[in-house]
Amino acid sequence: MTDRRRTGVLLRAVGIALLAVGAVAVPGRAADSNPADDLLDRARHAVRNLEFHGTVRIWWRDAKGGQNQTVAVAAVGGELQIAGGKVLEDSGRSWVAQAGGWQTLWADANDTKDANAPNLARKYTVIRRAGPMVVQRSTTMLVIRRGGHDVEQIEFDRVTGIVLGRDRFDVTGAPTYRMEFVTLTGVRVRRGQAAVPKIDAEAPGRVRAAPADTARALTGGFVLVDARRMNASETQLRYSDGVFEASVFAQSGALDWSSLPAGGSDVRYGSVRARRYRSAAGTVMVWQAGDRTLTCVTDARDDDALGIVESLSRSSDSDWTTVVRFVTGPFSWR
Amino acid sequence: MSDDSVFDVAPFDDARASAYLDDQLDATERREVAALLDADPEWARGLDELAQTRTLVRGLAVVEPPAGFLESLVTNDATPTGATVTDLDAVRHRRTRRLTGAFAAIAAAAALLVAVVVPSVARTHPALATDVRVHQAGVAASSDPVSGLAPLGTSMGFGR
Repeated sequence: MTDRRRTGVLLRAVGIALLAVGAVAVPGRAADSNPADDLLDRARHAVRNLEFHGTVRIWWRDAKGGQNQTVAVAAVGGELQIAGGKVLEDSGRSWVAQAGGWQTLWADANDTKDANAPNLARKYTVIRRAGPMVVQRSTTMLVIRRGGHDVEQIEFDRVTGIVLGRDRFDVTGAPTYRMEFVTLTGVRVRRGQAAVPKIDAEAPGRVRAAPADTARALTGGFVLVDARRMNASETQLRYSDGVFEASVFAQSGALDWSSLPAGGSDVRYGSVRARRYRSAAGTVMVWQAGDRTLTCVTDARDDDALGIVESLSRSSDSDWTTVVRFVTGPFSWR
Repeated sequence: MSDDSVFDVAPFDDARASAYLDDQLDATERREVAALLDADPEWARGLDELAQTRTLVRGLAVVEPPAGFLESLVTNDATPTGATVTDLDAVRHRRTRRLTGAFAAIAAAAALLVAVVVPSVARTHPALATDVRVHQAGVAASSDPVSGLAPLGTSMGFGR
């Protein structure tokens, strides 16, 4: 190895080491700081400031059984590229490629944990310990437990902070989801800034304040994090229990059951009939509450999903009327 | 009437006499009427006339109406002689039809009002794929970008 090459390798190693040390010092929310928040802050910081190429394997369970798919991921110039660039992320903002261009999924450059999310310690216990080797890299594992069972395990690269593995479990402790890097190469400090698509003028966005009558808390310790306008007739209410998120999309109108895609199964939550889908992104449930159609997307366990559906179905019609008017009113958002 | 009469003689009473003939009086009333018949020739004559009349009426043959007469009563308000005849069944039928029509008109107007004034409940077609993408984008922004967005690289099969 020549001196020049040796110097380059040394500089890269020092850079990554400094980045790793600096990432730990990323300011968090001191009042609610916990190991999970600190480690996830560091993971976001790593994706923004490092470059790498890799492949992740995702396994999940749906109605047909276990499913496996691999997805290419890359971090280049501060931009995270998923599936060869079909999905882009930059400092919290994200886009998906469509036939006519880019569709903005998230317009807010606020890649921090939601300020209104409850402290996970209210519902879960957190254990931090040494994790398994993933792509030949040592990890720190965060184990999140509830009622004597693991609900989630996250494996962080000890050097960079990148999330290398993530598992979720059902009520019995059986696995329902696993994401892990199967290849990871070219890890280095970021160089330059990649160009990103524009933010759509009609992109979903946060509203100034949630409607007054919106359910602020749901069964299972989920609290309202924020309300977002999807389009002229749909709103997104985001709830969190400190670990898992649940998005509730509300539309005015009766659900056209025949329009739903195949692959779901009808389930009953109390007196409510819902169509449920399992995907790599978690559980999706669609149902009708009064003259509104609600869609809940969550990676929470089924018992929590049940509580969400039930508590939202108990909300009075007047509550939902306010929500729908709120998002469809011309001066009510932004 | 003589002063030594035991009671004042009542004037002839058709109804009482008819009841006497039909044997519908109790014993006391029957005795009274019998006394009147003995004491008053007018009562005796009147009762004879009433009895004869009843016999005559009951002996008459049943007269059949001319063909079409009953039908004409139903379809025409006036008889052949010009007298007005009211068919109550027909009147009730017409009144029922008018009420039914009125109610139908009111119901139609109400339905039209509801359709115009009250917004109809539209049928929604949830865009599940878009909802999932937006949800995961939020997870990526507040948690970990890689594990938040990598699921969007899989085929979710939700269509839109």
